Amino acid sequence: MTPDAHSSLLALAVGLLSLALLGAGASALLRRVRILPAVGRAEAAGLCILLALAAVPWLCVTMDLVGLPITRVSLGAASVLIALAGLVATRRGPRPTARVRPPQAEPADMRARDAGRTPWRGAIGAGLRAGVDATVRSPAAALLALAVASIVLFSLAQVAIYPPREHDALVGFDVVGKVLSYEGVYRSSVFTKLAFNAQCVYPPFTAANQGFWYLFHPAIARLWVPLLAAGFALVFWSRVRAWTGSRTAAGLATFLTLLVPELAFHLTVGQTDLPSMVYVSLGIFALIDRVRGRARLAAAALFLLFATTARSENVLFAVALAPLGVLVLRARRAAALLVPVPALAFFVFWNLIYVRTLIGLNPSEYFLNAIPADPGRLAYVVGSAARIIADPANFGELVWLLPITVTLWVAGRRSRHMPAGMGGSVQERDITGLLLAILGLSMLFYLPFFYMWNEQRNPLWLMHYTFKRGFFRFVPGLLAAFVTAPPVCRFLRRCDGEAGVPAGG
Amino acid sequence: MPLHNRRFSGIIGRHPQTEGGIYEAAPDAREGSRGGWLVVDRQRVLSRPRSGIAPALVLLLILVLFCAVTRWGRTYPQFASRTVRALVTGLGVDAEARRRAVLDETYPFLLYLREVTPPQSVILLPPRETIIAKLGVDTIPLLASASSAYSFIYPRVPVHDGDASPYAERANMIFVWDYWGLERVDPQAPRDEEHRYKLYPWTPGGSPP
Repeated sequence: MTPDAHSSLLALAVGLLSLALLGAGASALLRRVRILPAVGRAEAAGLCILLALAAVPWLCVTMDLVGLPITRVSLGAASVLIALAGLVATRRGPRPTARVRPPQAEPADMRARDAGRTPWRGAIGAGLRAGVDATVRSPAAALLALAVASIVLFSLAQVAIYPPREHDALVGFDVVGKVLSYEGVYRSSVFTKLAFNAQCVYPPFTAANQGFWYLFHPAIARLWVPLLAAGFALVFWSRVRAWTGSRTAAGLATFLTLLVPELAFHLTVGQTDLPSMVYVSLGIFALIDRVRGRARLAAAALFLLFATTARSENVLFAVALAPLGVLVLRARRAAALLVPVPALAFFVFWNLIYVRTLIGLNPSEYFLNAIPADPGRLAYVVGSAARIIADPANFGELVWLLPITVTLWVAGRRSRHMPAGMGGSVQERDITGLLLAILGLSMLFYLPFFYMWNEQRNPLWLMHYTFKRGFFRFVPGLLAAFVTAPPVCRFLRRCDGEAGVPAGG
Repeated sequence: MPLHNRRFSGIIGRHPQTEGGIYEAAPDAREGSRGGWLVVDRQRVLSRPRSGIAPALVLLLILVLFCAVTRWGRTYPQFASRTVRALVTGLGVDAEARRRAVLDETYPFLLYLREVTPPQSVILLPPRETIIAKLGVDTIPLLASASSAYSFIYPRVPVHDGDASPYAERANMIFVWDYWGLERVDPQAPRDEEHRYKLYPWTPGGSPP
């Protein structure tokens, strides 16, 4: 191996270590302030990855604003500082009173935890036995978990082999990230020397993460994509597992989500739509958990803030959650109105202060100044959205899942046999209904984004691309709604071999 | 009483100090409190878990059919085969060869510009529309976007003729591309292969030196 290859591998390791420290520190701090609840190991690992990736654009933009060069050293040092802050907060801070009850551990987790008190050989043996036991008891869940892991590996292999090649990336976030790594600033010469494309001023998630890897390991500048997929898979799996009490249901929902044709393609490219899907979905799931009394609204607000750092229109999903929260929460309903506030604040900061004032581009040129009363335009937008969703080239047969899930939900509500663990109040057990309501309301808030496009700068036919990828945000919720529908959930729980494990988390 | 026939009214979970029993919180238990836990179904806890092999096999059969028959499911084998193909073909060649394989036909021109111009160059390129029209493509080629061109010729600055670029008046090179611009720098030059793609010096202000 050449010295260059050695230094490259070392930089890759340092980059991964920086992300790990960033994620661990951010997780610890957010737990200390009780925004994130205590979760199981898989979910904690997933959240650690997702928080690290979400923190990178904040670091880059902050360093840019204060004039600190964005380099390997400064990013690594910031990661160490955040990790230390998390450590100090965990060890020295006052112990939080548990307002949110930690989720139940799985039997295998509990056995592994017990085994952790024994010498490491015993722990490994116990862990292996637990794994084999779980595989024998629910082989479908084990195979689905392997399939999900293989998809993440496919993503890793393809981003490692192929260079960035998508139009939006090459004219936008990729060049911003690349020049960031050359010049150490976010507002680089891209914005002062070029007639740059609008994609360059998209919110900073993609460009900053790509810049991070151009700094640490330029050979795989999109390494954040498989990391994002892995983090999402772990968190999504854990959420669905908690809602259904079924590993098979969790594996099936995660596998089918990552397998949707257009979405699977996006696991191999570095665009803004995959992070949008991840953080919007997490925000929606946090609201669901808040309704079930197992999370805080602040978590929903935080994830939707992160989503808005990926694409500006994600602020609409944050706004959609507010009225729904007011309707479905049993206590502190008014607090739901605060959910969109962080996302709105970032939206204003990015578009009005950073882009319009500091960079000098007016993003509002791409939208109409007044709301037109145009039924033809409305019909075009709604019709295009329906056609795009129904096109098998985009989402395969996913469109059929909509009527099927609604039918199963209605059937489940009439049935007296709720799966064990899904009892409780109507709001606690009706995750399917809640998810469908949130997705429906989100769509109502999302479509006006296209209705307000300025045809001169943003022709409506471009909806074919933007809405196709925008619909990703609805896919995880729809799959989760499908597997939590009582008839499906009952069957999938039988596949686990334990019919009566209650939902937790 | 079977667990699924119970009407629950509290928070369901495991007691943290037991070995995986299934419990229900008392209706008046506060969130996070450890008081008031009720044993719901100790019998089920102590019995061995049932195997889910039969329903799991049914599910796996459905999944195999799903992956074979539906467009959604076929994504998995296609994704796998594309990945294997990428590994087989991609690992044997260097990064530059991979870039040439996947980037559009204007990428070699950008490499050429990077090789033959000094770093401080500001290069005048044909209008975007001219490049797109001459190539006859639906997508926007790398050469036709200042941002994507900059990505490959950095720190040289690309300026498309007619664009409101901040560096429009600072161009010091002109890239004759498919004879575009040739009449401005060398009107007498024959339209042969030698003059089809060629770099000339250019005076800021819009004329050849």
